Amino acid sequence: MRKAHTFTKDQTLSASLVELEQLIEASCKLVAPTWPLQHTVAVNPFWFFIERHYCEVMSELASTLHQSLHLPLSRYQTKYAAGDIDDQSLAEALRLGKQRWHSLPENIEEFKKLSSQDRPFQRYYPTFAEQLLSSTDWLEIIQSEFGKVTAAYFDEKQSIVPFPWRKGDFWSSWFSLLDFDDSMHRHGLKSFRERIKTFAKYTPLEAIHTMLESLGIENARGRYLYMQRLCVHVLGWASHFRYLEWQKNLGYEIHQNAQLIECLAVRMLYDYAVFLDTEHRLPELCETWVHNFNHPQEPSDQEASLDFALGYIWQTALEKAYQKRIALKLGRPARSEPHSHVRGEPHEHARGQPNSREERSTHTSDSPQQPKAQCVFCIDVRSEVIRRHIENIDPEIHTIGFAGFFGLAVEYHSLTDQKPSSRLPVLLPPAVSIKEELTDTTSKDTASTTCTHPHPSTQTNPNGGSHAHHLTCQVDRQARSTVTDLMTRSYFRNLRKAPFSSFLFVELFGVLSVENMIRKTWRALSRRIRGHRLPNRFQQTAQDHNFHALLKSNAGVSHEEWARRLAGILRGMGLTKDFALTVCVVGHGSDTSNNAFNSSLDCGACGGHAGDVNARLLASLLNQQEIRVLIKSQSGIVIPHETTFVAAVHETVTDEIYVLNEEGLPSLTRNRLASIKQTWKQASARARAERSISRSDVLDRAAIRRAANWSEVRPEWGLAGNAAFLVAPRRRSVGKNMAGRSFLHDYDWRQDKDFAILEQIMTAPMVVTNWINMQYFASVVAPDHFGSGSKVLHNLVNETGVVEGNGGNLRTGLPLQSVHDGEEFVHEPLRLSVFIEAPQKAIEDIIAKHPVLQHLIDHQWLHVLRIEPLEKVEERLEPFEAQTARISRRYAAHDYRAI
Amino acid sequence: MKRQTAHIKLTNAALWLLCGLALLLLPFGLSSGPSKFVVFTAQLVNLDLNLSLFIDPLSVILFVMVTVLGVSIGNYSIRYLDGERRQAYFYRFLLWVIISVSLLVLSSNLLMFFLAWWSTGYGLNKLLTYNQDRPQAVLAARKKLWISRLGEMSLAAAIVLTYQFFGTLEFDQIFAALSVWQTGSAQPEDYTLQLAIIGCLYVFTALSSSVQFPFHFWLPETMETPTPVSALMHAGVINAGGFLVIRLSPLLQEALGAHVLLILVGTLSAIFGALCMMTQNTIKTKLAYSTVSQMGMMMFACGLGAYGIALFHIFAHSFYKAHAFLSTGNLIEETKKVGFKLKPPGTLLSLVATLSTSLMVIGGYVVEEGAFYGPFTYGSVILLGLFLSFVPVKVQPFRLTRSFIAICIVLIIAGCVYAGIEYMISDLLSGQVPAVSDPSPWRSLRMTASVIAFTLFVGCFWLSGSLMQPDSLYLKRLYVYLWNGGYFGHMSSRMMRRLYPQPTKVKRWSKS
Repeated sequence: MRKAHTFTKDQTLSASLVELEQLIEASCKLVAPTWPLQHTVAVNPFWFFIERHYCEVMSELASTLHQSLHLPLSRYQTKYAAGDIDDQSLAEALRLGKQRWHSLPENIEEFKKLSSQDRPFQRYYPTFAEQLLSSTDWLEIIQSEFGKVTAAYFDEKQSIVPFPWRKGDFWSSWFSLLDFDDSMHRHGLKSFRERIKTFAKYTPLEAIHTMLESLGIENARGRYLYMQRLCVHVLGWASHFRYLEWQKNLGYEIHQNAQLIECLAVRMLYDYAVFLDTEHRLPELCETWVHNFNHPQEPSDQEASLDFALGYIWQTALEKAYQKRIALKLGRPARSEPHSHVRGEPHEHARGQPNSREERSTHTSDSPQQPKAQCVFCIDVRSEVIRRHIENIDPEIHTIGFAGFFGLAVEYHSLTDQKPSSRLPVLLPPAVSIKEELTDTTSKDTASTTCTHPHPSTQTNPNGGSHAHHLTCQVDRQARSTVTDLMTRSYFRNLRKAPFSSFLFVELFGVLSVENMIRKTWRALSRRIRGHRLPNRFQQTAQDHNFHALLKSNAGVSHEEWARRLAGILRGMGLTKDFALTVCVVGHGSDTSNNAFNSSLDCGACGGHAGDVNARLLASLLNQQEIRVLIKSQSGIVIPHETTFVAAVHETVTDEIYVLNEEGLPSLTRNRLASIKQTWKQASARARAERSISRSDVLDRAAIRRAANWSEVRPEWGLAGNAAFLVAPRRRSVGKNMAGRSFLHDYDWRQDKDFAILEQIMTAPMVVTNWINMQYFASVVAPDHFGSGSKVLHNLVNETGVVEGNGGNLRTGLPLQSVHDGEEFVHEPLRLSVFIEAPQKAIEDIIAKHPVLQHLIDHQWLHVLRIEPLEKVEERLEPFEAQTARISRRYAAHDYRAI
Repeated sequence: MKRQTAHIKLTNAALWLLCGLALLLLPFGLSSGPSKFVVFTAQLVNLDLNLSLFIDPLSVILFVMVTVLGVSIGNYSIRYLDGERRQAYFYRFLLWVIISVSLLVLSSNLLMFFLAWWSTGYGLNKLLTYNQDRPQAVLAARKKLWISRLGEMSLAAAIVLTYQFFGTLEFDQIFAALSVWQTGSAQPEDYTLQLAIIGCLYVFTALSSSVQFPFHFWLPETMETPTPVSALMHAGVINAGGFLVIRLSPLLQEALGAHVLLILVGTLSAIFGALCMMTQNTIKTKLAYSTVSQMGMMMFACGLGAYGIALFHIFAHSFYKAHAFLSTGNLIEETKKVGFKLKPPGTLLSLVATLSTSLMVIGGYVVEEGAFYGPFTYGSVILLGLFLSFVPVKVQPFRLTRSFIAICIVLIIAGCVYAGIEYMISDLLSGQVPAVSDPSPWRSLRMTASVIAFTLFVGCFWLSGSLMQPDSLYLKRLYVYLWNGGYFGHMSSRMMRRLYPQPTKVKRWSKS
């Protein structure tokens, strides 16, 4: 940023600049980061607002976004009529609402009458270009011009010609471009360049200050609302600015120096130019517009937000009704299906007789608690379905829910990938960096392992490690030919892209597209004939023995360090004793074709990648005898010698589970796996059947076709429907149909001495689930702003994002097809209800320790409900009335304290 | 939930039926010479109204192409547009367009040709306004409509003049008359002038409908329609201009200026499109400019008299572009993988490219007394693309020899196959279109134009190399110009806004 030479060092001016800077920061809270489509993760679009109460933010945003952030009232009425909202919940929600909005009616009949139709909002805060009644749609032009420049500035791949000014910061680049770009002039704004050029000498902050002064918007709240509205039209690109800042804060190397304030300043310049152009022609209009901002509605205005109150109360009632249903379900005994069975309870000894010889022989060594296998799944809502079916089919197989990156914050650079992929939650910096490398073709030595520090600024890594370790591992011959193949192909891809050579390409290879099209059209069919096979994306180039090699080297992470981390992970999973003979670590990922949004179906905990690498790494580390010895000596966790860890991956379109690197396993384990795989197969079929109709009936019934079909826009519903997060022992939920709407994290507070694990769960997975939940919420209630629009109009920009149609704003969030079936939304937007089974005090202590949790919970961005931990498990099976009463509603106590 | 399934299934069945018919006709059309199936005939005063199908290699190849595309796009859209409110609407006009284009390529006379031409434009317009509620979609459709009208007017004028001159609208009769006159016997008055006017009108029609510079600006703005519509448009519909030129090539061969126009405008479009393509940031816009440049190449080939090459280019480009549009979703997956990086050719490489291709062009003028200068010139332009250098990205230590060998082998095989196909096609087309070596009365003029064109191409090759590092003021200026598509879109939008003033917007906010 340039220094302001022109400004006099006036005290009052600098004071007002400081004030303005705070205002800008506040108004830019609308902008949450967005990740490139290569590894997109769900983001809570309201993340920077969590310091304020949900009601306050949402009612303010309603006037900024010019739309309600709840469903239309008629939809709630429909849900009420359908019985999704019961009178009791509605009355309860209304009672709470009345504490805040005193003019609300007392009884629900009157309330229903009041909300019989949506009322138009009274106050909007449009930008100038937006409200200008002219034949030229200036807003659209500004959006497309702004989008055009921003796209070019950030473009690294799509355009062959690099943007000439991409080196500098955005602000000065934009002004450099201004000398060359005639666009606004050609659109009819003749004076654009002359008027705007003078701002080049200011910093963005000064420019904003000058413009606001010149526009005459003096009211602080008016300024705030104006700047927020400016952000709305360029929300996507602004999110990209935010993303770069986010990554920089995590210690990633970011080459471009772009700041959100520059984005806002440039955006304002466009609006300002239109204002100046109109000022002398339509002074009255300009005056009215400025007046609107100088006399804004104050946030404390109760009456004005009454419209918001109606939606809010219905929304709360819907959530309460859902919570009640879940509480009822959790409090009730599991359905007594013939093979359904509540495991782990002392009085239950109905375990089937061990059927294989190996098992029987090993039984002597361990307690009778030992199950046939333990499968660790991701907490993802899609895992709930398949876990339930696995346990229904074979109660001998126990499942565990744990965050899908399995605690390994690893950055992995596959040989076939251009860039390293961070397979960890985006809230954290990577702790370990692994790079596959080809050793010199002439020498045949094994792994070359090096240690570097790729991200020097990750010194404050909260994830245990002091810094990121950079490891390399060798890959085998087959990988070599894969790479050769990729390189060869890339040459022809380049031919296609460049001028002139594209002529050559079309002449020589254009015809091959016929074959390509036919092949792709029939691929779905051939997949059906061949049956389920490990999808290509899970076929890794590095073999597991290379992970072993990582340990052999002295560089990088020491054995002790690994052991320490692994013990922590095992404790987090609740796997400290009673290991089964086979412990499967099941990551998940989605296999789709021709789908730019594939990563949005992948594992959120793995940063928008599949969880296969983490599963393989964990399994192969835990299979090391020397590590096990260290774990035992360090933390007393004894992993029996016979226990083998197996990596697997759950493919979520077809719900198949594939074992990874099976040929590398001991034959004994392979034999044991056979029956487990049989169970998985059956469970897959059931889960598939359930999930293809669970949200709507429009999915292609043949799941395998959905995965292989290049024209499929709805391969699966992803995490649609998510509404609850259950942090409890599995026995609380086993055998209970959560309808694929619940994240499940295994947690037994009795095993958790100092509640460190609970703290971990509440600060990491709970935040991630909140991000996912709010992304779905926002994509449904405000698809125009927080959803990425229709897939059929998507136009990939910069090879990292999408614009809809001709462009303009970058689109973030979920595509319409992911949450909408053509007739209605399939996702019911509910704020997440987190059910935690732990003592009240422990939960309160943790919340008190972390401001983030206080914000999320006290400001109602999610609900936390406590399941009364019971000493005697039998008592759990009492009538639901008592059970719901025991679930204390934390948020009720704090409900309106915050504002 | 009602999903308009019956409609979709019926349309798909119809598309399959058409495709089957085309495939049945293929061996017949390829083996025998031109033949006419008269479906219906009537007399209006002294004008024969014929609905008849003209079966020859040219028409059956394109018929097959169009119907295969129809089936692919139809099949693709079952799932792709599932849940769209107007899916049935899409299928209705998809079928409409496919039938219209089929009739266009099969038409045996100019009247039928005109009607099919108009109807294609109508269907396309309907598809472009698939999203009526998106103002940008409507705007682009309007731009296209104006250009279509322009083309239709010049086509109508040309047809009227043709009828006046030849006394018939049947292709075979026109060609028969031409072959008599070509020998110099019984030429009517104003033969040269009349033919030049008629020829240039046809060429104008072709150029305007095949997105040639400066009629291209609407194309990059049509991204507001679903991807299958883009695929259909880029692959099927805008080739109509090329088909018109190839079909009427015996006539255009005699027309002064027609080929010069084709060569120069084609070259300009090819260059402009290619350069614009380099600067775009969105995939579909990039593909649109690529279409502009590819259509330019096709017109260039037509201008050189290499109709066989042009036909194959239509065929190859159609499938390539349809596939490219339909598979844009793959791009994200593609970008994750390792690969060579594109690098501008260095000075030395550019020099080698210039010299070798120039030698080839000169060779064209020498071999057989310049009989094959057309294919030689075209081939040398194509060859320029081979001189592309690349750098490997971060796969060290890794030997690239195997990749190099693989690339060379693939290129050599593809080159041989390509040459074979071109030879086969020119063989097939002999009789329908003038042979490449055919001495045209305006040959020297065309040769001059082609030399100019080649020079332009080489110049553009150098330019595109240096444009990859836009350091100088001049290059920056050029970059911004190309990046904005030459501001044609901006200016035309402004014009459209004047032509169609928008209704005053509803006030969405209130004064306080």
